[in-house]
Amino acid sequence: MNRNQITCIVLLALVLTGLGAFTILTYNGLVSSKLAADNKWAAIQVQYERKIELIPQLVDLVENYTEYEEDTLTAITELRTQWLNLNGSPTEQANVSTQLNLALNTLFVAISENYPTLYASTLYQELFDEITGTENRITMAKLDYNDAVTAYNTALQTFPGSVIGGMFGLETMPLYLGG
Amino acid sequence: MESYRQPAYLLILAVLALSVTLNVVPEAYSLPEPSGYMINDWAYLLTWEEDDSLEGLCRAIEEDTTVEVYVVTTTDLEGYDLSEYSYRLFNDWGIGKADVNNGLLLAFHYVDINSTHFSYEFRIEVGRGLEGVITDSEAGRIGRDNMSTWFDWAYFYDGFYEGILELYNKFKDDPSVVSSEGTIIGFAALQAWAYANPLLAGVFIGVGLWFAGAMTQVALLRGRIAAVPLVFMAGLVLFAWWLDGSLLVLFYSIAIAIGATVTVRGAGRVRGGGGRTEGGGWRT
Repeated sequence: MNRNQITCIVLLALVLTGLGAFTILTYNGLVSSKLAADNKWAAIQVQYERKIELIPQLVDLVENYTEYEEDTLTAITELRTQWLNLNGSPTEQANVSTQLNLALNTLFVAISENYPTLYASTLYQELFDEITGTENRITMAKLDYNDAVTAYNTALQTFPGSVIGGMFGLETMPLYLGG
Repeated sequence: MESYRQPAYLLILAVLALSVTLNVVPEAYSLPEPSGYMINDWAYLLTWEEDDSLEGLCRAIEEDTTVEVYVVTTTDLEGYDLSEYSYRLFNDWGIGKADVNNGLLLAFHYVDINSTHFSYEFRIEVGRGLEGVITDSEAGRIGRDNMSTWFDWAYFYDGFYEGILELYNKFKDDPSVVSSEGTIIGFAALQAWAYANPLLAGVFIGVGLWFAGAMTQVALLRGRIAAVPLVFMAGLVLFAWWLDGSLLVLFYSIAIAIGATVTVRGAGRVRGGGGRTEGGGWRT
């Protein structure tokens, strides 16, 4: 074996080790960004739960003050029950959530127009602030989720990730739209 | 022999250079950088004295409770809606201590309608660790009763002052918002500084490495023993390793040392911003 052959073998070994390390690093990076996105998804769910938990309080309070909002209140309660019975499908979730937001908005507008005593009461103001605050958290959690998903999808669809992701059967994640 | 080696090294170098170039990720969004002050009156709503007074108040609050209260007034939300702007700014700057998340941001968006009229919106962004003492409804009450009432009449300073005081009253007696991140001194402080400024630390060590390299060459050329500069070099590498266990400082310093050795030509050239023409204009 002359020196040239040794050089060739060493170079080959180096390249192979490099490729292996590169694959492992890329794969680990992909998986950790996918886990980060999953975590953000869980954060959305936590904030939604918080909002759903506030609804009985709202219904209790509003029931005592109002006379003509029975329909809206029933609708809100029903949507809440529907939500609790969901089994984690994102589209269905977005659907129920949109309906719930519409019903809540109807209620808030009706209260601000027709029930000045309730609207001015501290209890209602506080509950309203809590609900809008939670709504804001949900929106921000969605932003974070979408950012994480975009980072993951970009990594998965650009060069080293596309090859290695395909090798290990990783799939792109959907963005959270609407709801 | 030499003719075989040369292309192989070039190839390895080219692959390394390519992998570095291809991994450059574009900036996702642009937010203002932290200014180093807690009061950032970018909408010019406060006089110098008022700004200074609020800055003193916020620093006193941090001294007392470790809670960080920041104020940002702006006329430009960088294309975001106010909630998203304050959310992103808060998390981007990392307001509040990391162990208890005790940050507060008052983000104020000022809209100049004309010379006599203005409108505004503002948001009290509460850090995670303060949510227990300042609930959304508490923040709403303070915002409505203690701040908006002043802001409506353009008393911006009074609104901020009273709002911050009112918020301070909420959390001042709560031990759970106090960060346990004590002040660190000695070698640990040096390490913490290097962790916070890996590039700067890397510059110092990198220049040292480059100098040691140059001295090694000088010693070799003059036929003297190159051990001293080599030991110096090894010491610097070990120091960089000790300074920052994540090896970021070491990486930066080696990169800088190599960069200082291999002078990059044309690095200061002015480059265009990527604009295009469709051929409009005039010629004779």
